Amino acid sequence: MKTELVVECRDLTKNFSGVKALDCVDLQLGRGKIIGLLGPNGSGKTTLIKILNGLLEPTFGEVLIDGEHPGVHTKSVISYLPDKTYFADWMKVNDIFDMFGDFYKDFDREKAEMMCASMGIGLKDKLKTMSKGTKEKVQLILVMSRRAQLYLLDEPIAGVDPAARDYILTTIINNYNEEGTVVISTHLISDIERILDEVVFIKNGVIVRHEAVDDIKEKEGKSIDDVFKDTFRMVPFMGVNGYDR
Amino acid sequence: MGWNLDDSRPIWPQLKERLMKDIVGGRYVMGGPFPTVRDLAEEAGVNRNTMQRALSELESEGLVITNRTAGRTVTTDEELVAETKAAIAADNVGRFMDEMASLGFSAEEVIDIIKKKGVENR
Amino acid sequence: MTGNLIKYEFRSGLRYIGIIWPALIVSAALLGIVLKVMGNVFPEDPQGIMNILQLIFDLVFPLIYAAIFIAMIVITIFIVLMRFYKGLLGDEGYLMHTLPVKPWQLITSKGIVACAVVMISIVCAVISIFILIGINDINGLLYGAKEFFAVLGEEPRLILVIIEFVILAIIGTMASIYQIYAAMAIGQLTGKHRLLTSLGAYIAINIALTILATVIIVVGDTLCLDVWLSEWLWSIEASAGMNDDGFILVQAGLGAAFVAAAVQLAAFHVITERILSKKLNLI
Repeated sequence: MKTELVVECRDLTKNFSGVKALDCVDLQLGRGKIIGLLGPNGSGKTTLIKILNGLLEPTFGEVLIDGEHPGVHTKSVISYLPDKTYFADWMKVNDIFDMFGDFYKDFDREKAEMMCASMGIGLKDKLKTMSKGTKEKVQLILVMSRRAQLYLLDEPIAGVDPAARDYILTTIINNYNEEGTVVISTHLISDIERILDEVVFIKNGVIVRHEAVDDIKEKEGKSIDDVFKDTFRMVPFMGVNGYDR
Repeated sequence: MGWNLDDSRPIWPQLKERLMKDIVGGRYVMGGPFPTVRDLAEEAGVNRNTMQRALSELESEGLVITNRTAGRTVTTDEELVAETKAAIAADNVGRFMDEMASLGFSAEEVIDIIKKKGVENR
Repeated sequence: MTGNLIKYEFRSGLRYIGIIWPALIVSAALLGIVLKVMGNVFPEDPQGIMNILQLIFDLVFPLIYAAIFIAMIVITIFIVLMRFYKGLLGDEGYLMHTLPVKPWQLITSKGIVACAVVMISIVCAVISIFILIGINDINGLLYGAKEFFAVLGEEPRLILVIIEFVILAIIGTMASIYQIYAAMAIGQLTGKHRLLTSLGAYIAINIALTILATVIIVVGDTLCLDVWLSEWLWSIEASAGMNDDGFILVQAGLGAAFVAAAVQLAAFHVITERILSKKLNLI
């Protein structure tokens, strides 16, 4: 039995030694959508994602994934791409595929091997000797080869060149499970806004906007990138007499 | 990546317009197979939900037909295609005339210009 | 799932140490053969060229053996420390803690494999020493073995004591490993000085344990519990009609040590598990 919502947060708060990283977040995400989690660096995107996948315990509040609190079940339906490379240095591509096959029932090994072949990555290649970019590709393959209910992609396109960005985004939209929901966190909006159904704006740990992309465009006649810039505009220091003109 | 789209407007109407033009412009054979949502979304560089919405609109207008067995096909209704073509033309001309009017040209002057241009091109 | 975790953990451990174990055995055998053959074949001949060769062999093979022995110790310690630290508290933690398993399963898989590696290393060290002795003095070794089994035959209860001792050694090793785990789990709570805090936590735990042990001994001593206890045990032994050889006393001692190790193991596990469940702090 599936719940209607794949993510449900109530009053979610996370303090780090007194500083609020998340402040009373209420968030409901439906199924079968691609959602952008947008905010500047340090706004709480990674904290929220870590709470959703059970790497962090919230200070207050509640989170339900697929109707359950973070635990073994929710981890089995979440496919998570961290902004770190997480491989043990002894493994080959084959080994990590074995591991995903053993732990995740929804891992499609055939698909993963095909994606590897198309990217020119050998199954016997050692992960330790790969470049950072290639390691990230292998992680993307692992994450997108699962038929997950929820994909949590933390900054998948940060720090790569524009050609690689297109490649990564194409891989994501062509391979996700259509019944599942994809959450992409980023501060590079213009690159991804076209593939988004909904956006969640997060600012200083508070959700300031959660709306369908088409509704925003209809209402404001602006690109999400421009709306984002308006929302997060910082007033530059104009000098002492800056406002006299 | 993908089609040339305007990010300041909702995406799905733009996809719909583009697909309408492709259909009436003969890119797809009438009565022939129409690409899948997946392929179109990949080509356009948008997500499948957005493409699906555009296709649903085309379906409700009858330009694309969904068969249970054969997947989607392009309409065989020539009259509908002609109508759509005319509507697109009228729409384009209307916008063009507005633009010209804002530059101060009268309808007659515009027609003269078009005639001259047509002779040159020949 | 715990089985799967152990499988991958063991494969990763073998990558580091799998080659060292057979290498130690082989180098022990080589060293043993060199010592025996060189000593027998070339008698004293101070001017002979073979003597120089022998000198080199006598120098090189012990060095190889010693180097492999030391490498084994270092890598064993490395596996105990780093497979937990890097695997659960470093970047690899992003993979391990999002697998659909419970934290206790992660900790247990690391602990079991680390303990197995330590045990195998100890066994390899013992075997290598027996090989060294055996090649040079096979008769002595056989004689020793014969004596040993003769004693066992006379006193079969010793077999029980040996088995108990092995179990105690395993539990004790696990407790020591888990003490390191608990210290590292506490260390990761701080943002920056993780290793330093881990070290501090380890020392603090040691001090606490020493104080606890001292308190127990002092209290027991003041209340004369030890005298009372031993008299009680002797009386049990006497009433059971056994020989007055202190078997019950040994059993009680091993039992107490077992309980102490098991309690420590459980406590360290709970500390580690709670911290990783509730206060995981991956950076």
